[in-house]
Amino acid sequence: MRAGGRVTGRQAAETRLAEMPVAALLAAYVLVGAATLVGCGDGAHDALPGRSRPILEHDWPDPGDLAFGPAAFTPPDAREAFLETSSGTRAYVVSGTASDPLVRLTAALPLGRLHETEGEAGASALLTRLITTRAPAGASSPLSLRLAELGTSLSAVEALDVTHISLQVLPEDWQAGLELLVALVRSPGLDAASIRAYRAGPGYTMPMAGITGNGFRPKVELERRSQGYPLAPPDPGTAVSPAAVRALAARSLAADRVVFGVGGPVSRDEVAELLEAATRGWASSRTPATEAAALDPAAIEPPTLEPATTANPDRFHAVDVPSLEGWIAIGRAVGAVHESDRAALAALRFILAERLNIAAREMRGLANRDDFEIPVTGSGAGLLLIRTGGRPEAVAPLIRYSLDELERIHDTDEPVTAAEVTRARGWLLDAVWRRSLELPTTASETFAVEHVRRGNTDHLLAWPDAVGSVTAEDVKRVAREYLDPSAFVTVVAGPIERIRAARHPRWPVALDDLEAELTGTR
Amino acid sequence: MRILLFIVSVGTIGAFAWQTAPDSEAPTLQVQEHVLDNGFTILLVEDHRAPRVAANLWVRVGSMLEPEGLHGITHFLEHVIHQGTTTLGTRDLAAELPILQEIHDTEQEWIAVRNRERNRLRERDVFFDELGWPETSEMRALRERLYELEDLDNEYRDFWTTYKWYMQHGGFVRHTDPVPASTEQDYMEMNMALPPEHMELFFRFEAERMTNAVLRGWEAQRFTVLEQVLGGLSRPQTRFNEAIDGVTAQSHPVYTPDGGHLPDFANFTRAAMWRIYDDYFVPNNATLVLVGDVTLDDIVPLAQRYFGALPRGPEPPADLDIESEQVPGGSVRLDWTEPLSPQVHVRYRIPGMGHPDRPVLDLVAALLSGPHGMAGQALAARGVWATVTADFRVIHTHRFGSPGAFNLVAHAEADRDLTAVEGVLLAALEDLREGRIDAGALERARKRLRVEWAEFLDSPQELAFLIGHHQTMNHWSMLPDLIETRDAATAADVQRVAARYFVPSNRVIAVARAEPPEGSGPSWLDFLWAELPGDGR
Repeated sequence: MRAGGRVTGRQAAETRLAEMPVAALLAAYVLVGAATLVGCGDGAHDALPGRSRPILEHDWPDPGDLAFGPAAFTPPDAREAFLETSSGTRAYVVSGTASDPLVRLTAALPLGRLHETEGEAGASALLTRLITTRAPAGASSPLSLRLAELGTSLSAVEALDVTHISLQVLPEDWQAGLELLVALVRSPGLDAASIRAYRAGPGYTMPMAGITGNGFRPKVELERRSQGYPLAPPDPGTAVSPAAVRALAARSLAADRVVFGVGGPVSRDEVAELLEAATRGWASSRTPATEAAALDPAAIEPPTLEPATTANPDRFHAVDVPSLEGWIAIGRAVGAVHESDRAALAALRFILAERLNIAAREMRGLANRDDFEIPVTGSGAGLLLIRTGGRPEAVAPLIRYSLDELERIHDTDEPVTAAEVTRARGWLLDAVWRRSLELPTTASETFAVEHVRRGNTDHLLAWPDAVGSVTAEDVKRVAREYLDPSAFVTVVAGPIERIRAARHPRWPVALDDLEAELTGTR
Repeated sequence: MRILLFIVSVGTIGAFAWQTAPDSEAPTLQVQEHVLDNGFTILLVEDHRAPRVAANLWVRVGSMLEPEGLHGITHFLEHVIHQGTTTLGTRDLAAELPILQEIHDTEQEWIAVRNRERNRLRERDVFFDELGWPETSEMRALRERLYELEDLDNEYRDFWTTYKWYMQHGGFVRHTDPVPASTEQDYMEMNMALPPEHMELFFRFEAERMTNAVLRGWEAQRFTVLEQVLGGLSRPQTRFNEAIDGVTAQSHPVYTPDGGHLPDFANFTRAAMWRIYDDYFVPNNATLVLVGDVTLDDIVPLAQRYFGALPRGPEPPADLDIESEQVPGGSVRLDWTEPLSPQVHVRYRIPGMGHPDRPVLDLVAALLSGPHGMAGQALAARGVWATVTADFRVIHTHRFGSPGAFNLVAHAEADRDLTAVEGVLLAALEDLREGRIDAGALERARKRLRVEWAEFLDSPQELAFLIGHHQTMNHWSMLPDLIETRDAATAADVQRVAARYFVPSNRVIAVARAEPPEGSGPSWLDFLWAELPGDGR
């Protein structure tokens, strides 16, 4: 039975109106319109055009006039939460109260492309999968069965310089869960057969699923085409030798490299006691922590491109993928970011993302989203990236207006407003930073990841001061330094011929023209 | 005005003791209900572990009420009401009003021309494609005029206003989309998690969004929403899932994609949108769910000031409540011809949330899922590798007050394994029907459900969403009932429910292959672009 059988009075009215001559209709609407405008003139509007309900008159304040109480948030004490076992394993234990419903257990690992040496490309991802999909056949694996008995599963978040693996258990199961997590990380099962079996299976692929994630096809293409950028994912099917996996594991899955997070209704002393026992005899890495990152972020340099006024063939790439819509990545590589630029760059990310979304989505309906992201790594190295996409006729205008926003924020004469900076500060602190530390489950994970990434939590806890002092001038300065449009490369992945032929009815930008502008080759 | 206090024991849920009942170790979920005179309902769960409040405003409206030709318009409405109100998102409403009037008039003219042209075609008694209604130059000119008027109106707008205010004050959205809301078959919900000191923003904005929305940026948002639909359809898995939904039932609108049908995007009108807004966006059809660091004393004055000012509306049309009986009549089989990762779906039609069998079906799903569930164990015993999940998804949603679906899904390594995988899944279901239930797997399933419930309790945003969902389907008290009942369910309950629902006449089997034997045919894009609205090509 369908819901559409009902005919309301208004539907009937619309039908009757449709049967009227157009001239009569117009006359009727002119009268209605005039009546509304009379209401408009004296400031008393009964209803909006087309509505059956009147406008609600109210005296509600403008949001800018609302008076808010003081914020009341103090993050958990990281020093109090920190502990170290005799084997050198570190952990953050954020003890909640008895009312916390579960315990989150996290192992933060120095895995990711930034930790891979030559010949190890793909080893981090492979190692992560070996840990998290241990014995997929399942029934005969004691570790896998143990997870099922705890009613939980592992989740992994992979970044360029940290991978963290988490599970959540009921409070009465935290000891069993932590012992299991330590065992998984400490003894990852690196026999050659396991590694080869994995390689024979799914392999290291990054399937594209929408616009988010590392597998976003034009992002991967951009990384692979960016000269001087060593962090691109390896090609699908790239072989990783068992020796390479073992070498990385020896460096990264060592007692003094892994940092655990435990958050929930647990006792710090009990956790310390359990970890001491579970990590006893676990070997340390032979590499000093300061040298653990295999790849020097300072070695990452964006390709040298001519100034924006000069076309360069490297500034545009089209990748024909007929089964996709038109997906777009506009980005550049960046090496280590100076500490004093970090907070301003984070504010810049928020501001440019806001501008992009307004230009592409809110004003023009070209895309569901048009975002800007900066690397989330300890050094700041990675990609500065605009990612968006849409139907074929939207692709060229999306590139046009995204590049326009890039130009605008880079342009010395185009100001960043104080209001934008205020919004960015509020979001960075009261949403992102504060939320990451609000609950024992989140705070323990945040501390552990931060420790692997930066060696301690000092940067994290000093973040409010850093963000709070960012000014519009700071944002403009980092925009000038990092967002030179001439350094950005545009990659389109999709049905290229359709995209080239399409013209948007409202913003008929041609991809060929854009390509000619960027490359001078067409 | 009435204030009700419910303390519901969920004593079977591990060590959860958010609000520990006096003289008892049994943990409790304490929901406070407050109803304003105009029918606006507030549900509050106090959680003072962190200084944040998850706010979820639910309106009982959704894609199930949409008539033919307007599929997807409710989701579209969700986007448009986030373009501003009479006082938000505008720099000069007085200057906008004549433009809005002209937009209205031009659209009415477009509707009249469209209807005239369609009737003219019918009267000529010539063949025409029902899906390919012509767009005349007159209609195109009117559409162009609408674009121009919208550009003109943009001069007076402040874009993304409420979202910007929320972000500035630490707002956090449940998902990552730029509109902090979602629309499914039986609801629309607006969500934001804010520090408690900024909560007034939510009341100020959402009360006005409920009553004084202005349909700005309508043409642009039509394409933004279309992009969301295309973004889903661009994934082969989405196309397969929607096909399974399409063959599941003969008539019930729960199986119609909530994102809508592509040709309908050319037919949406503001007039149709206003009808939904005016009919359903009334305080007596809405519930605000709050979970977090506030008390009823903090909240009621705010609710009274903002939502309390909204006049009670007529009872919304009850189209949403229509339930159709499933028609038994034989197993359905779908062989997908587009290349896709090898997979088998076995689906059974089941009753909606609130039915006494639903809690047991939760346990059945957990019992069959995962490498150590009964299906995974059976596959391992046969030496076949596949991942097995079981869920209740229809389109994007897992919980309905309407008929739903039980899905047992296995992803295999290779096409050659699919026949064996399908056989094992059916055999595992038969084991349940016959009462051959592994005690260890049953215990693991119960533990999995307890952890899942604890995960909801640990996340105020997810808990608010869950409570609101149940309230919109029927009543929030269904939720603790569900948790208690499924935890107490026995192997005999599992066998009874399996025997009732897992029968061939109630079944859909769908199979996708990496290399379909019949080949894949033309690209989906060949069909897709042909069906886009005329002005989108």
